[in-house]
Amino acid sequence: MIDLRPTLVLALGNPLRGDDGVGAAVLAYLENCVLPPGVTLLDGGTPGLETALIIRDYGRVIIIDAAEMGTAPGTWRRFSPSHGHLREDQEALRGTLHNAGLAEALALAQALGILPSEIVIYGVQPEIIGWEPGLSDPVRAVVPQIGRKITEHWEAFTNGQDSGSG
Amino acid sequence: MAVERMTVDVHHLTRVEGHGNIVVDVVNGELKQCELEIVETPRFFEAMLRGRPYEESSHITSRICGICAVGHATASLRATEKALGVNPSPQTVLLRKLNFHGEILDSHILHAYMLVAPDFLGVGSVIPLAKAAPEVVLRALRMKQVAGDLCKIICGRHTHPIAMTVGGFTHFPLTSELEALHKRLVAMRTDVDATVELYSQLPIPAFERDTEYIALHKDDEYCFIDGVIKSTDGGEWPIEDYRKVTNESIVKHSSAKHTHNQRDSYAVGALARFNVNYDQLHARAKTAAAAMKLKPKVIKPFYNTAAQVVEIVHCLEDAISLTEQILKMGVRAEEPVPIARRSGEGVGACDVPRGTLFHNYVIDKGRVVGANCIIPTGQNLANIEADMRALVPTILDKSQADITHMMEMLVRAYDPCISCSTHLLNVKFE
Repeated sequence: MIDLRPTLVLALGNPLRGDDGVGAAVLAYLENCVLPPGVTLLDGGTPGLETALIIRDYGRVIIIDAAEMGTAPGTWRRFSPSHGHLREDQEALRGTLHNAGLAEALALAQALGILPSEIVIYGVQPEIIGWEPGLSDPVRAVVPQIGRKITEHWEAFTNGQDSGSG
Repeated sequence: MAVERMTVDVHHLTRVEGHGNIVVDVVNGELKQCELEIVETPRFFEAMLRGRPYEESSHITSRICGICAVGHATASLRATEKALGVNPSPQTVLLRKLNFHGEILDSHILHAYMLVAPDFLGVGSVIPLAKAAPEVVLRALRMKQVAGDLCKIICGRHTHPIAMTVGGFTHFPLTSELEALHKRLVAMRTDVDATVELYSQLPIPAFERDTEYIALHKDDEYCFIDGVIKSTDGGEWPIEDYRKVTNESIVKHSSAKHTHNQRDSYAVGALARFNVNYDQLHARAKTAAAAMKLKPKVIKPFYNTAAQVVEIVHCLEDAISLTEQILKMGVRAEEPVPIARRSGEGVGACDVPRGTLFHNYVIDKGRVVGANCIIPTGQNLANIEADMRALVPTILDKSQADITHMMEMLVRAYDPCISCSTHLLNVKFE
């Protein structure tokens, strides 16, 4: 069955801080691709709780972000938040809310009952999250790979072949 | 009969910014200790500024706070502009005021809904609140989104603004952006009215203690930027005389300094502004205040959040009218006003969400050689403790858990921003 749920590709991170800009780089790659109908590209920057509102209008959300996974720089994984890969900061939720990020926004969206049915996260192991713009070589090298994987992903779902699992 | 001993020890109070502890010790009904310990690490921003070119000051100091980034940037720019003889254009003044409202709205909505409302609705945090009353949390998120987008249109982004610079702006909103913003602000009235209704119904503790309230003041507007310092105890001071009002001193149990003016302590923030500047509030904000039974002088500290709700109404109405004014004038892409000299001293003051903020810079040949920042939460600490000392004896008949919760709610009502306030350079322990 052909899946026509609106899809959001959400890049997170700050391009001024080295490999944290990997999401924006993948987004730039995708901007040069032919987008299927119903796909929106968005640079979400550094997210706050309002991310819950941004994602609520989509059936499927593909998130690209740098992720500390303890692996070699440039390795990347596709996973879903329900697999327990994301750790929300309990203090941020009970505490200040001044540091709330993606995990907190997803937890809030879930509590509100507005979490999209499918969320896929492409996490990329950074080499350096520093104080200047520009990706490290190993991270820059995987940007086209991730871009291609995402286009394959939506080709699959527009052809009705994607199971939606990560 | 008095309980022999009752202690409250809240280590790292939640739903406030930064790290603070509440310590209370009552022996045979007598209060032996009652302190709000500030254990946050000092931040040393004033030292970071020394030697930096004046153009960087607002970008460095906006990092003091992710919530009041626009407030710090604005106070910083005003200090620099006064030091270097810059008078911003009428368009800059209007854009800064509009931008400021975005920040006040964002911060007050966060505090009223995410940090304070859970206490009244009997839940531990915003997550169970979202499950129990999703429409309440969705309303807060909707309003925060408009407030954040307002700042984004004017200064690039709310947290650590980019387009604000000495003498003006480096980026200007498009007419189409302002028109779309205006529509969203008008539509936001429904959510703001619902906020007033919510806060009219919450059982806010009626505890009261008279104190001195201090805020910036102008005769012709509800003041957030510039103006004079005004006290409910009488007295007005030019911003440049801020040290005569703040009188900072060091206390052992806090890495943030305490302040006092005409009494042992004073309060700043939404309730202080409400008390000092009630006459300048928008008519709709006065109606909202009446609905929440607020009439100056309000001396109930827990009602600071209600005063924030009054300001949410005011800032929305003023943002609507400022947007209309700016659209009518038409936005011009003007160059920032150049500096008149490269050396001088200036004081910038703004009433940010949590109260009056001062930045004072000495600039020599284009570089900052001295800086002093006085943060609202620092000014409130002595007053919070005075409230705690007055409140505890009146609630000793309650359980320890209830007393603890009440004390947490009291501190939270002030919406403290603890990491901002810790700028102490010399700490001496005995």
